[in-house]
Amino acid sequence: MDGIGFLFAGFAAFWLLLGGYVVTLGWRQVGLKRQMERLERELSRVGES
Amino acid sequence: MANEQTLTRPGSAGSGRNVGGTLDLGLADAGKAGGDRWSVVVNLLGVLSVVAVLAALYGALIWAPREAQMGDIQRIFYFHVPSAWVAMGPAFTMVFACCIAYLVKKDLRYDRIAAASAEIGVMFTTITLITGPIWARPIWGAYWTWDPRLTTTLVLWFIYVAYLMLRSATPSGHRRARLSAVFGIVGYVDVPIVFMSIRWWRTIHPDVLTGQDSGLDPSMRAVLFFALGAFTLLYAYLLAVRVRQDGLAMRVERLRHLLQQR
Amino acid sequence: MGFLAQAWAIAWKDIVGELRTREMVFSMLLFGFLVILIFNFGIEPGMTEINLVKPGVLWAAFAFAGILGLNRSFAAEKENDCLQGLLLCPVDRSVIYLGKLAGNFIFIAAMSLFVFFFFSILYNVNIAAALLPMLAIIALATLGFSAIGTLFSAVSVGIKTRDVILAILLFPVMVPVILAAAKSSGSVLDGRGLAAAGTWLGLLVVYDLVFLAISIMTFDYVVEE
Repeated sequence: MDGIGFLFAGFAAFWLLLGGYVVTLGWRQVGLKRQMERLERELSRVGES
Repeated sequence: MANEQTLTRPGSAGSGRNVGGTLDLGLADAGKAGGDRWSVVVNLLGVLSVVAVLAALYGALIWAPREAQMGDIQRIFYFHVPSAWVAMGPAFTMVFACCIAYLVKKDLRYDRIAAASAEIGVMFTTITLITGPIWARPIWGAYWTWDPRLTTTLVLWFIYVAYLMLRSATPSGHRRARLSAVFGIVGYVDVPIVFMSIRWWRTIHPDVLTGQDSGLDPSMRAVLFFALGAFTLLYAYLLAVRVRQDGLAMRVERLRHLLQQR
Repeated sequence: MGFLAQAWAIAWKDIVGELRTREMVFSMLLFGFLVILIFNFGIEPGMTEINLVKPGVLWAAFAFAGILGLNRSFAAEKENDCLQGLLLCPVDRSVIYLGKLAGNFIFIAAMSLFVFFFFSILYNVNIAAALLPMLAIIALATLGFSAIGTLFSAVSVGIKTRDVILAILLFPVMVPVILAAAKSSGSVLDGRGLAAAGTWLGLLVVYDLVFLAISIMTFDYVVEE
């Protein structure tokens, strides 16, 4: 690999790692939101009964 | 029990709904006192940091002059150094400060900030450890040269990964906060000692070149400092987002407990 | 009962208990010997650079066997709920820490000495010249290892993956100790003597002081209920 190849690899690694972390955060957020909604619905349902 | 099933089964009724643009990182996180104002600040921070990092990318790849000896490959430096700096500077120092703050004040919020900061710090450290060798290979012919700074970064990585592993092996609460606070303090104090010991070690074996801050062109220095600022902004944004997410996770836990008691 | 007397009482309880059952002592020793043996098969015994490798082999063995010693210390307490009993005593928490520290230090230092003898035989070390300097290095390194090791043992007490977690927590923090100890040992085993390793010994002393202080200060927080 020549110099440009390594340069590309370096920046690609950066964006992959940062992007991976951001995606993990986003995925976790979506999951938590869904759980929250579901739990709130259950809570109100149980509260009515 | 029917309740348990609907709670734990993914993709159950209605969960496919996308509640008003929440695919953003917690945009509609209302329900906390002052939450709206804080959300605005966080989102502004997010936009700013993304713009800044992209500008730093432009600066690194295009605006900065080509380095005479190393060529274009040197441009990784503008992302490698700030990553290392953000990890060792703001991120892990914040962990240390919050560990002490927790032990003194016993407020779990400090613990949450410490954990989030450690996670982001480990991420930036990983970036440093991967971009470093990628840069080193074409320049010095080897991925790893036991250079004191990079080696200390490697030990640092192990220390803070250990911090995260300790947390994941302990149930959440004050005990976990106490234990991680103690380890966080020991780890941080250890870092300068590790650096000194590795540097002494390497000066005995002078087969390593570390001449990377030999005379920086002023425009190069400008890009570097800009990148440092951009990365610090990014760190602040990620920290805010992560802490807020942790708060949400805590509320989910609490709701789940509430429901299980009925 | 004075402060130091209390701490010694705890250490003595540890030592007597261990000597009575002899459980851990022999396994630690055997393990230390085995590590030396296994390393030996990984390297060429007659190679010219053997002097470069000897300290590393020795200190790797010490580190691995030392971890076993630490694990024994608090594990035994947990099994018999002795830790609870100890915590009920109206003593300063630092007393418990110092007592456990003393117990660990004595065990690990004694074990290291035996492992060093075994090592000396296998690697033809001039024991007469090397013994006293090595004792000093072993003492300093073991103090640092035990100081943080005792603290982290208490940290990892309630955790399921206890043994592994202790190693994960301890080894990164031990890097300066292993490095300094190996370098000093290299100097001694090469015949250059302790004087040539001045900086490394200084590092060990600084490390010991700093982390002994931090451990004493933070131990309370680790064991509080």
